[in-house]
Amino acid sequence: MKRPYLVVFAVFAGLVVATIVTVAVAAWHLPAGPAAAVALAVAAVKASLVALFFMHLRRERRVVYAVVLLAGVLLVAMMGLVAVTERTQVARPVAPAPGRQPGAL
Amino acid sequence: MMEIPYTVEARPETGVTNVKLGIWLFLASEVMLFGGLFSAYVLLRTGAPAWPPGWTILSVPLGAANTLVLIASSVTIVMAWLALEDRDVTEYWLFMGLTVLLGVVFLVVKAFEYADKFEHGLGPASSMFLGVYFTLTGVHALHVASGVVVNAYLLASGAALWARAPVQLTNRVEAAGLFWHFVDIVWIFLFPLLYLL
Repeated sequence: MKRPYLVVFAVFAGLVVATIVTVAVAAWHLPAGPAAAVALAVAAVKASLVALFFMHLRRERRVVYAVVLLAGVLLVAMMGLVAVTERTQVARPVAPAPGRQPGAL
Repeated sequence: MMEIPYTVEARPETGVTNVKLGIWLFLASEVMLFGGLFSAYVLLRTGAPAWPPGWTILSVPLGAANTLVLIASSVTIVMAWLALEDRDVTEYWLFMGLTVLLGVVFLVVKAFEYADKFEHGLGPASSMFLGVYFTLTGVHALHVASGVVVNAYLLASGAALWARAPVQLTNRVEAAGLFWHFVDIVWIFLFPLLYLL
């Protein structure tokens, strides 16, 4: 078997460059929104490279894609629920039950 | 002793070995574990009145170095598997040994980071940020440690299994590699979320 050294090292180089880009962009201290968008976009590219080339998802059997799709759909649903959650609900203190002191167990 | 079926040849119904299907199903459950933790991070951060940028508390150079260490270990475990596919056991030992070493390096760097925080009196209970940091990186470090143990076992038992069942060893290394790459992917997201934003 001819080992695909070139592909492996090209992906490695891509991952190293993407890591450097992430750190360099973060050093600019952009506003929170754009900074998160850039950092997560680069992370998504890096994760895709690892999944496609190192985990062989470029060429896999249908059953493996089905498992990956199931996990992906459930993850998107979970993150979707987070996205639609009203932010203030997390920070809002819970009202004590009637007749109980705040903080009492 | 009963043999586990389809560890060497592909199961006709699925087209893959039970080893590969099993590890992918396990990784799917891991996606939900880390998905839950990431969701908690997002909710806590967006709901908090104030949240410190990670770079004001954590060492970005150490986090970036550990990112490169894990990426390098992903390459070495791929090379170890490719060496077995090519029936080159000597090269397998070299690359699997490097993978174990890099995993240990990651954990040692993490230990230094934790020790630095503890020396300054900072722990998981010190703030919401540090609670999230220690929980996410702690669970991830446990996964790295588990991967190191499995990879070290495959390194130590490799010669005996190679002599008896070479394809079985190759498939086991592939499964261990899939887990290791998943751990790498989790860190690829943890690093910017905790250290850079």
